[in-house]
Parts: sequence; C-alpha cells; structure tokens
Amino acid sequence: MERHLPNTAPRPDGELETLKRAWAVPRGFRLVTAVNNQVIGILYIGAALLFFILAGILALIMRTQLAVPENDLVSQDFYNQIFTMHGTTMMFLFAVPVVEALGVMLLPQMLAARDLPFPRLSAFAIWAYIIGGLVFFSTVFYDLAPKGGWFMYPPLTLKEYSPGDNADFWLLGIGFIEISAIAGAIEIVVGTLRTRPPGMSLVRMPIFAWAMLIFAAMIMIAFPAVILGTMLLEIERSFGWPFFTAEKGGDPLLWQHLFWFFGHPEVYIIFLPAAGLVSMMVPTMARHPLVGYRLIVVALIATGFFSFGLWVHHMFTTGIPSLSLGFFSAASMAVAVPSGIQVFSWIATMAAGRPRFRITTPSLFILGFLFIFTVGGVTGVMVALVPVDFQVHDTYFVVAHFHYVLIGGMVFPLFATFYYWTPMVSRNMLSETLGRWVFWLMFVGFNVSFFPMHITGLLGMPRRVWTYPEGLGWETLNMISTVGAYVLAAGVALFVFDLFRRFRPTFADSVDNPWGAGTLEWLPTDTYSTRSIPYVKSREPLWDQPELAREVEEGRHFLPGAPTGGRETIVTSPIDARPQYVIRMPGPGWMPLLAAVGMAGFFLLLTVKLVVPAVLSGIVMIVACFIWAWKLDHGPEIPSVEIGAGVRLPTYMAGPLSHAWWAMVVLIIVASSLYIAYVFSYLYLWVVSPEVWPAAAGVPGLPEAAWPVSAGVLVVAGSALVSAAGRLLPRPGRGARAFALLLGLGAISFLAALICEGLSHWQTGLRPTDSAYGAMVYMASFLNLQVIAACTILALYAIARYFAGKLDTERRVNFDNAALLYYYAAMQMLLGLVLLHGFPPLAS
Amino acid sequence: MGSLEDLRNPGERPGTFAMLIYLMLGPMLWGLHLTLIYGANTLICALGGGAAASRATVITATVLIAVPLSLVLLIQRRAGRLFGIADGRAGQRTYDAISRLTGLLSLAGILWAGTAAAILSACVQGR
Repeated sequence: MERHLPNTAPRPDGELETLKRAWAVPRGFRLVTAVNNQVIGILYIGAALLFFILAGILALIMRTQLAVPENDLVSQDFYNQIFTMHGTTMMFLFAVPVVEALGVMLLPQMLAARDLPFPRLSAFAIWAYIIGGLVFFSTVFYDLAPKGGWFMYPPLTLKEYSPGDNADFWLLGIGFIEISAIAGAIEIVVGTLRTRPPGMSLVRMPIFAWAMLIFAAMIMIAFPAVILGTMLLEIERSFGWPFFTAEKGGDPLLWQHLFWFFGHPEVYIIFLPAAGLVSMMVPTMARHPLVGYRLIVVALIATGFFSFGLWVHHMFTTGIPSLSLGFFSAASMAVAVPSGIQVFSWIATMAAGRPRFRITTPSLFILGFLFIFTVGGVTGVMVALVPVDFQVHDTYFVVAHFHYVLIGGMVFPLFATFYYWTPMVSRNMLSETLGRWVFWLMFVGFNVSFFPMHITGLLGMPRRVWTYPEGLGWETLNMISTVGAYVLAAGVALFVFDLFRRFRPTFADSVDNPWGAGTLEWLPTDTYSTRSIPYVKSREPLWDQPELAREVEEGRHFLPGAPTGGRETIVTSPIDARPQYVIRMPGPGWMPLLAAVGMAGFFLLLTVKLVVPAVLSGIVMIVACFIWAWKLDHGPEIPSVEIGAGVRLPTYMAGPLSHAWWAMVVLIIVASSLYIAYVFSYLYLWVVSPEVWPAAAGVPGLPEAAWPVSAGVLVVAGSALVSAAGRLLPRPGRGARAFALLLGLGAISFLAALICEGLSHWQTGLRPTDSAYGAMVYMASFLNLQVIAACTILALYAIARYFAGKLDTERRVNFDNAALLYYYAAMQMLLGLVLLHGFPPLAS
Repeated sequence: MGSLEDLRNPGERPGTFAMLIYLMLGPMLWGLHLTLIYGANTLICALGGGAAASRATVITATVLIAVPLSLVLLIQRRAGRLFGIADGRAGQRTYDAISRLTGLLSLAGILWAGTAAAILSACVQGR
C-alpha cells in the first residue's frame, strides 16, 4: 500500500521545523499583520457576527417602536435611519462578508491547500471591510446615517430631497465595501480552480467549493451593476449630472434596474454558499454520501444563472409592459425548480442515513432551515405571480417573505455551520445542550416574529412605516411579532454566551473530526494547514481512505516540507487537478493593513468633502500597494522543486497558466460587467428620453468623424506599442531600454486617446450637466479614465521593475498583467467610440 | 485521472474555457434568450412598433434558441466530443449529465418565458 503514496522515503530532519517557521503566525500586536487564512477567517467571521448583532439590535428597536400603535419611542427620522442601516448592514456588512469569511477559512482546508493564492489580498479585504464597516455603522450615532432604505431609490435620495451627507455615506461607504467583496471573489475563484489537491478533479470537488465558485462568479457579474449605480447617483448628487432627473432626460427607474440587477442575485449570492454548507453537513450527519451530487451541481449552476433573470420582479408595479412582466414572472417561478432539487436531495440523503440521520445541534438548524426556507420559497412563488405582487407589494407580506428566505436560507445554515465547524479551529466544541436551547429559541422566536407579518401584510400594513394608528386590526399581530423578535434575540444572545465560554481558537490542538466527516478539512492541521497535501481519489477521502490522516501527517503525500524555505502551495490544473507549479506566497506584512486604511480614508474623507486629505489617503494606498507587490514576484531563483511521486514542478510561472494571469482575467470580467451595465444604462436612457439625444432640437451635434477616428487610431497604436514592448523584454541579466520607452509611449498614447475623446464632445458645446445624454457621454470617459489610470499605474510599476532588473523574458508576470489590462482597455474604449459616435446617427 | 503516473503530465484537455462553456451552454442560451426577448419587447413597445411585431419577435427568438438547444440535448455525447471531452475520459459521464440537466432546465425556462407571448398582450401596461 505504501508504495502507492507520493512520498515513501523517511522525511529528512528539520523539514517539519522549516515548514513551521515558514508559516508561523505573528504574535502580540503584530497579529494584525498576519495573513494565514485561519487567522483572517476567524477575524472576518467575528467582525461579520458583530455587525449581525448590531443590525439585530436595530431590528429590536424597530420592533419595540412597532409593538403598539402611535408609539413615539424613536423619532420618525431616526426610524428611517435605523431601518436603512438594518437592511444595509445585514446585506452588505454581514451576509456577504460572512460568506466570504467562511470561504477564506474553509476553502483552503477543504482543498488541503496551505492557503488561498493571494493571502495579502484577503488581509486587505478584511481590513478594508472592518475599518469601512465600523465607520459606516457609527454614522447611526451621529445622525449621519442614510435614510433612503437599503435600496436608496432616487429621486428620494437625490440632493434636493436628501440633503446632507447621509446618503453619501451609503453611496461611498458601500462602494468600497463592494471592492472588498470583489477582492474576496478573485481570491475564491482562483483558489477554487487552481489550488485543489492533486487528483481532486471538478467532479470530486466538495459541493461547498462548487457553491463558492458560483458565488464568486455571481459577485463578478452582479456587484459591478450596483457599483455603477452608486457612481452615477453620487456623481449626480455631487456634480449635478442628471442620470436620474426626469426633466433632463434621466430616469429614476434606471437606478432600480441597476440596483436590482445586483439586488436579486444578491439573495442567491447569500443562499448558494449556505446551501453548499448544508450539502456538506447533511452527508456527515446521515453518514451517507450526498444523494444526487450531480443534481446539486446542476441546481447551483442553474440557480446562479436564473437569479440574473429575476430583477424585474422587484419592479412589477413600475409600469413595465405586461409581456415583459411575463418573462420575469416565468423566470421567478423557474428558479424554484433548482432550489427544489436541492431540498429533495437533502431529504433523500437524510432518508438514506444509516442507522439514521443523527440529530445534533447542526442537524436541528438544518431541519429548521428546510422548514423556514421552504415556506419562504412558497411565498416567493406567490409574489412571482404578477397579480399577487400587485396586491402585496410594499406590504409586510413581502417583509415576511424575504425574512423567511434570508434568515431561513442563510442564518439557520450559518448557525449550523458555527456548531459544526467550530471544532476545526477551537480546542472545544460548542455546547450541544445550550445549542439545542439556542435552536429552539431562534426557531420559535423567528416564526412567532415573522409568520404574523404575512397576515399584517395581507391586512394592508405597508413596509417602512414608523408607526400606525389604532383600529386597523394590526395591533395584536405587531405585538406578537415584537415578542417573537425578543425570543429570537434571546437565542442569539445565548449563542454568544456559549461562544465566549467555549470557543478557544487554535491551529494545532483542535478537536479531532468529532462528527466523523469525510472531507479534507478534518485532516490534522497546523498553521501550515496539512503536513502534506493529499492525493485525492474520491469525494469523501476520509471515508474512502481510512489511513489518509496518518499518511498526510507523516508527510507521505505531496509537498511535505517547504522546499523553497518560504510559504508555498501546489497549483493544479482547473479541471483534473494535475500539479502544474508551486506558488510561492507572501508572509505577514503591514502593507495590506496600510493599503486598507488608505482606501478607507480616501472614500470616507471624500464623503465629507475633505478632498485633499482624501487624495493623500489615496496616495498612501497606492504606495502601500506598490511596496506590497514589490516582493511578490520572486522570479525563478529556485527553478524547480520535487513535490513527490517523481513530480518536479517549477516555482515560477508566467502567462495563461499563472495564477496572477487568472486573477487579472477575473478583474477584467468585473470591469467588463461594469461597462456592460454602462452600455445598458446608455441605451435605456435613450429609450426613455430620445429627445435629449443628438438630432433633437437644441442638443449639440456629434463631433466631426476625425475626432473618434483619431481616438481610435491612438488606442490601436497604444496597443501595438504595448505589444511591441513585450517582444522587446530583455533576457535575464541584459538591458533593453527600448522596452521602457515603448511601454511609456503606449501609456501616453492611451492617455492621449482619452483626452481626445473627452475634448471632442467638449468642443461641440456638450456639457455633462445639460442632459442625461451629456452625462452618459462624459461618464464613458470617466469609466475609461478609471481603467487607463489602473493601466498607467501598472505600466509605471513594470517600468520600475525593469530598471530594478526584476523584469525580463522569464520574470515577466508584471508586464503580462499590465499588457492584459491594456488590451482590455483598448476593447472597452473602441466599443465606447462605436457606441457614442455610431449609435446616435443610427437611432435618429 | 487514474493513477499517480497521470499526475506527471501537467496539461489537460479540454481547456477550462471549453469545459465551462460545455457545462453552462444551456443557461447561457437561456440568458441570451431573456436578453433578446426583453430587449426587443421594450424597444418595439417604446418605438410604437406594435404588439404583433413584438409577439413575432419573441416567438422567433424562442424558436431560434430552443431548437438548437433541443438538438444538443438529443446528441449530448456528440456535443461533448465537440467540446473536447473524449469518450471514457475521467468524469465524462458526470460532465455530460451536468450539461444535459442544465440544458434541460434552461429549455424549460426558455419555453416558459416564450409562452408568455401567446398569452399576454405585448405593450399594454400590466397596471
């Protein structure tokens, strides 16, 4: 048997010590510089839990206010602030971050990777989130919190109707928290596809990894729409570009389209990972492999797609043609099918359990989830029916529905997760006895609180009201809901008590696979994750290879040491997980923290119009990123290492196999999603108000054709120069100054194209404040400016690396990434030129 | 992938892109269908093109997308080979099954949405 293992020879002296040294976690105050996924994961989950509790307290205040009619416990204005902050905090500061946090903590363990491929990016994301989130939440204490609802609909949120900085805190604060989410998504996509253990092909991947992969892909497509929306709204508030002002050709409904194109997938962005967690726990409790693995994968993919076809069901009452409503009604019902597939699959697995499905605290939360989520799903199909939606829109029925979906579909699985996976990172398990109390308090409290809201809604009680008069028949139901909310809160409080009592984080002395699970996160671990990276032959390796834990711990599998002396893990091929190279990863450092502080400062100072300090903060961020990135590219100084089974892997990779290349591709998908959202917005506003487009009376005409042609030529020339620079990269140890010159000229060419395009419209007399058309035209230049600024920074960085002797034909990742972004920028700019100069004549 | 020896070959076929397209072919066609019918309906109604034109566009788009998708479902294994997934390759049956089932769900979604054209008037506001 031993001869089938990747490493059969005795392990050399000192190997384990080197591994421990490489992955040591900083102590004391330097703990904030740690990048190990377990440290970051625990911190991330802790912060998300804090925001959950804070938002929950706001909910209790709301429920207390609504307990009796004509109550004046809080003022109307403050109530508006707290319901906005409750929704915003739950969605942006709790639900998405906690899922990403679980990804950061669990994925490397489930994939037996030593860490995710960009540990400093994870550290940056968590610190940006913590700093930004705390500052954003604190606005509720200074009367500065936004009060336009978590969806921030204009025209209510335009400057005329929402003066002050409250709305700006939402727009800029949430904007950069979304950047943090996108950073996490990049990490998860590349980590899931490229750092799986040898042998773990896509069809052997744990369902949670599938769910996280789809979750991250959905973030890449959905979040850019709301980022564009927040940019448009903030620009209109600050500079008067009328994207949403009807009298100048804008349309408030554009915001709803952009917001809900993000907002509805958001529900599934939250739900799918939770479903993935359930798919991991149910087989363990049933002691039976998941029934219908393929069906669950199908359901995850289908749900991910269908969720993007539902956004208009939040807009059924806005006057959209009946037939269009029919399309979205159909999609809204169709999405119930894959969700149903998952539910039946879990039930079948439970039924297949031998001797029977074990009833533990995680099991109770899963059963609670099944009940509550199914009720939420059924009411979801009800509101997907257009006539029903017309009746219950903006009533408490909808409040009940989405809390059944979100709390049932996400919070209950999350609590199951806490009980199930705490032993993986703690010396103690959480208490089973208290856990059962927590479950019953939460389950009963939840249903007592939210079930009556269905009836209150059918009786006509609208959402978001501060108080209500007596005699409408709502009093008793509201009182019951409030009592239920306190019971639910008692359950959460008991959980927090148990957590403080029992949770003792550890890397090496965790509880040993207490549930008898079959997946890799239950292998013995330390700060370096597993001693060796297992060769995987099935979906439940710990069940099918009973000796695996011992073999891994003895270093019999892959990469049992740290052959380069630093942090490293194996990069495998995306489909079959064949080893391709060994990635060398950075250790602890201050720069991710400093960059996060700089970014938080930039956005938050900009919110309160302190422009100069904001710019200085932005510079701090860029400098920190430069320093952080400078040491990432080790180059092929140690050309290759032996990982076991006679496999020798390079320690450096450039081009399409490189993880850096993959990260850049993911970033480009995000950027292109944002630009597609812009193209949609442009065409949408034309459909709504063609009278402000060129050819209409009083609207400046298009620039002469020479202008866009010149801009196009400059873009093509810039791309050609960048490409030529790539061919002139010097060999190691040689110089080739023409490289720097050509890359610099390429950057200048792109900047010139940008200026040319902006000037072309300016000289016609068109101004961005004139009309929605003018605003959209200059917005294209603004979006191009963002990408070109990023390209220029990358080009300057590549040139600096070249002069430092750290960029050549072999060590070329920095150039490849810059070039990739430049080529994308060229496509975006050319598409923009065609749209802005080609569409208006066609349309007129 | 069968044995440790297989791990020594770092390359793989099909490439990631081809595999992802194969697994998500149905949902991508569903997305294309929704974009086309929603965009066309909005545009035709906004430009005053009339209900008949809108309905005809929706039905045409539905047929043009549903028919090739149905064909792919009928010749799933052959389609898999076109994407580079050879017969007997490790995981082949699972990849085929995932592609077939996502395609089937998508076909249902396409027909479900397309049927609306036969029932509802195209440009009248629902409310």
